Amino acid sequence: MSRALPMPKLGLTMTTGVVSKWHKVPGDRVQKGEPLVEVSTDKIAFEYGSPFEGVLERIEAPEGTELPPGATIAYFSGEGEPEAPAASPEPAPTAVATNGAAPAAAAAARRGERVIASPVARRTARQRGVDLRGVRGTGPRGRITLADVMAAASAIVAPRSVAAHAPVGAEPSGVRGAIYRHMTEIGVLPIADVSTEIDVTELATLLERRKDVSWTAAATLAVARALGDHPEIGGGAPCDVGIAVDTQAGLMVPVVRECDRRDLRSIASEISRLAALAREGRLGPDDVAGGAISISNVGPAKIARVRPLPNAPQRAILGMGAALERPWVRDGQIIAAPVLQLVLSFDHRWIDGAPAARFLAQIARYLTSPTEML
Amino acid sequence: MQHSPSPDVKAARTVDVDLGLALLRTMRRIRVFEEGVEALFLAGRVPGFLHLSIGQEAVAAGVCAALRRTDYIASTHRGHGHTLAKGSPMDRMTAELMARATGLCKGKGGSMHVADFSCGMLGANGVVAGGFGLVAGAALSQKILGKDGVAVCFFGDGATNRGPFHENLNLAAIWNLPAIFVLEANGYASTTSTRETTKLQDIATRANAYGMPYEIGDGFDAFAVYEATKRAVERARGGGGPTFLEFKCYRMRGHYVGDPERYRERDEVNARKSDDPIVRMEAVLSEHGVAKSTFEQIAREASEEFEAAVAFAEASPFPDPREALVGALTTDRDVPNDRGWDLAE
Amino acid sequence: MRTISFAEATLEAMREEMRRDETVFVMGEDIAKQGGIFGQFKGLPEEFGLQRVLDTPISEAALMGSGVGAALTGTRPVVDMHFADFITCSMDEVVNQAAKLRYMFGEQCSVPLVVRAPDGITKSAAAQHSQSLEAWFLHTPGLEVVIPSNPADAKGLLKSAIRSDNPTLYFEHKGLFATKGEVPDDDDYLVPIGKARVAREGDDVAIISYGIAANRALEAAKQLESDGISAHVVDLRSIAPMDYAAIADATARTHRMVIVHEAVRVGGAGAEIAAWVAQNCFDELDAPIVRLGAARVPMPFAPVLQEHVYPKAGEIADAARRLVRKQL
Repeated sequence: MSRALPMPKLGLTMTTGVVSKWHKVPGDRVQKGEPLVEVSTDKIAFEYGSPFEGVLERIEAPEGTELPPGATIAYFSGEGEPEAPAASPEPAPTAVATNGAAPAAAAAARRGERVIASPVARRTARQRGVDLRGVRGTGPRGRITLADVMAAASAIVAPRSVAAHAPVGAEPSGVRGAIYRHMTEIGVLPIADVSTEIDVTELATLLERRKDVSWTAAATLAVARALGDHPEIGGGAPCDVGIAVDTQAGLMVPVVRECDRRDLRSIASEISRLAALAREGRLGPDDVAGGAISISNVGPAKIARVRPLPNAPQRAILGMGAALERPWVRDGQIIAAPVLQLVLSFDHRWIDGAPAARFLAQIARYLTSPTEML
Repeated sequence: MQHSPSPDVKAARTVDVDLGLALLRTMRRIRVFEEGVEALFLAGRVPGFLHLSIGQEAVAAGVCAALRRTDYIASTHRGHGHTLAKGSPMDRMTAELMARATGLCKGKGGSMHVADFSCGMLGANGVVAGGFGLVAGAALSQKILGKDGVAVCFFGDGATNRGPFHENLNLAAIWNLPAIFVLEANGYASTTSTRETTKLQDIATRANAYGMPYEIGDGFDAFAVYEATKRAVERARGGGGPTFLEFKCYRMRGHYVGDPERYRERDEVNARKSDDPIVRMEAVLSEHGVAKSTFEQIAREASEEFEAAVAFAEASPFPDPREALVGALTTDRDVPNDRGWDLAE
Repeated sequence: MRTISFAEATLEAMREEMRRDETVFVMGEDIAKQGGIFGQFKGLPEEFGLQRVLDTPISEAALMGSGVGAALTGTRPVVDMHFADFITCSMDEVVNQAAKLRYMFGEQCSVPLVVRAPDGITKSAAAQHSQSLEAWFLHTPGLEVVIPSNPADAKGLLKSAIRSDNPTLYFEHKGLFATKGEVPDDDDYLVPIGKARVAREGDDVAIISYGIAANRALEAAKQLESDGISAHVVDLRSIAPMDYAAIADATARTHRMVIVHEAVRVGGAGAEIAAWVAQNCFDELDAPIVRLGAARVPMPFAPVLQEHVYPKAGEIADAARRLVRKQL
């Protein structure tokens, strides 16, 4: 009896996924959990481990095919639960982790049975974006243990740099392709910007003292606090701030949640955590979803200024450069001071110049006198 | 074993009027206090239980008058009289009974556990016979520290049938401790007549079993109590060891306020009214030239003192609830207890 | 550092504290003339006199009661109960007097009393001479409870107990008196009350224990090493106050826990620890918390029966191994 393999649902906002690469060909015998196919969305590339044990019978979606979650992309032969025929898509569970969804676990999800996992396994799964329903438990009576969740989390391997192999002129695939299409869409939007320069002497002193906190973290706190007074900049979304991270595969923007409930240290450690995951290619779909506004910091490259594009559907983005020693006027005297350039790019369909300016001014105030936001 | 009967006081007594007045003042203050807190209790202004010593004032007054402020006493659940007689301030005790933060025990003890260590009062004990060990220990401390203080244990007939009575009296005797054991023999242990719990007419004879000297005296005669105590104090301070004193007295009220007293007849109680130690003292002092107006003044001053005490108590705050969680260990202000249901965030 | 016996270590503590503070004295049955049944009071009457080293009649209530009374009035008594089982003959004096006077009287006094109580299973002493009763006193507010497992802690904890102004129960396992261990030369060596000791660091499973069971836990840890399992052994040393921070650290480090004591398992100190961990370290647990303790029977006499009812190193290692191998 054939078993249909659905396109996995990777995160709540996923509308379609692209089959980037098949690792097996029809006729191959596949173990449960073995890497089977690479799927990418506009946010991430995902290594999908086989949920089935058996023989890959037929590939329905060749590389490059774009399909919604739940649509069948392949068939397996062999024993297992009778599945609906290829034509009607499966009702998809939410994101499936890669060490394989045992048929029993998938059935359990449908029957609404409890997943048995230890408390630390649950917490780790939550933090890493691992869906327990797809994890095989090696504890007594099938209990999912910490080791099982760690194995599942590490099975999401780093996305390879697919863009390098795309022929010149042709539309790229994979993560690059996702970025390509995303930028094409927002290219038509009316993006305006307001900018300012500030003396960050005080902030530099603070960061000297607090080695655990970065410029980006300080900017995130300032943006979060300012967002509290200007919620329309975020479109009324919860105070989640995206942080642009440069990775091998391309730009990724993981989101620091609930910044209005965090202090500086909490923001700094969360940014570190997300950045590490991003660089290891281990961001989960829920790490990049949503967000009210984002921040792009080119300071580490010692570049003075960046005018980034908002991470649509977000309406604004803050660009910040490096704090560079410049001549500055203070109390009528010319002195040398560390000067930071801030740019707020915004979608003018939603935000006008004056509110944008006021928002940026508040951020500037916080970064000039950081004690006001701590 | 030695048994010294009380000298016949009535016959050839030279009365020390000043001492008599001092004893009378103490007894009157105790009486006013006990009647006053009884009324407060019945009006619902005193929580918990109340055990009154009305009728037994002479024992408290007479014993404590023979002690230094630095000597120790341990008392029972019926301890207001002992506490006042030892020198504890009436207002702080009233505040304690009324559960105020300004009480002797910060509102944590109440009537049954009043204590005042500033005048050697080692506490009223809610466990019958709880005081014997404390007094034996206090007396032992004196010997080890090379001091000449004495420790007095007040108790009732009920306590004499408990284990610690026997163990501690034996220990005090064999170690020659400067302790005095004062039995307020009021004929009842709680609601049971002594006749039904002990074969002895005079429980003091039990002291023979421990090789301890004893005296039996008239608990309605404050002078007699004082003199017997003085003899015991001199023996103890002089290194002569412990003494057992039994004072026959009567408890005019029930075991506790609210006790229906089904265990004795009203006639019996009424017949004992003439044994009032205050009436007796006033009679003796009258015979020796003290004017009635003096007695009235003493009574008036006692009433005023009590009224001021109640006013003080009522003006005092109740304890901060968080105080409930500290004070058990000397270290618990550093890491106070949680209540168990204070859930961590 | 010198290697001396547990009994000698406690004797050193007594001697040092009695020299340091002349209000410290000791009383109990069979201590002055006999020097204690484990030799733990030898030489004290000669140095400090019979005023400060007192033999009492067999009167536990008076012994404990007068200890409380003395502690209230300027001296610092050490009361030796001979066997912990006999504390039962003076429960009112411990629970209703010693533990409560400071609180009931609004902190007008303190009770700097130490109760020494040899306890535990040894050599067919049978039901009335083999008990470990510390859980009762953990459950009584107003008391400190300390339980050393080795000579150094025996000395340091006894000194701290004597200097503490709180009533302190000092449980010393009868089977430990003859054991030897290294003790610092420092004549002011104090072990703080309420602080645990990490006896062995490890990552795979935590074994929380105290007293003689902590030594058995260390033996178990050695056995586990050859199975490739690294055990983290915590010797609590005090159970009131309890070092919850050390317990939380152990949980966060290993995610698996065995709690073991020689006392009866049901309602023992381990139950308090397990419940606390389950509530406060819930998200750190990768497996259920396991408690080991004696069976719920009076201690039998025949050696083969006695040895059957309480956990030893082998049983501790077995429980830890099963946790790590996900069999529990």
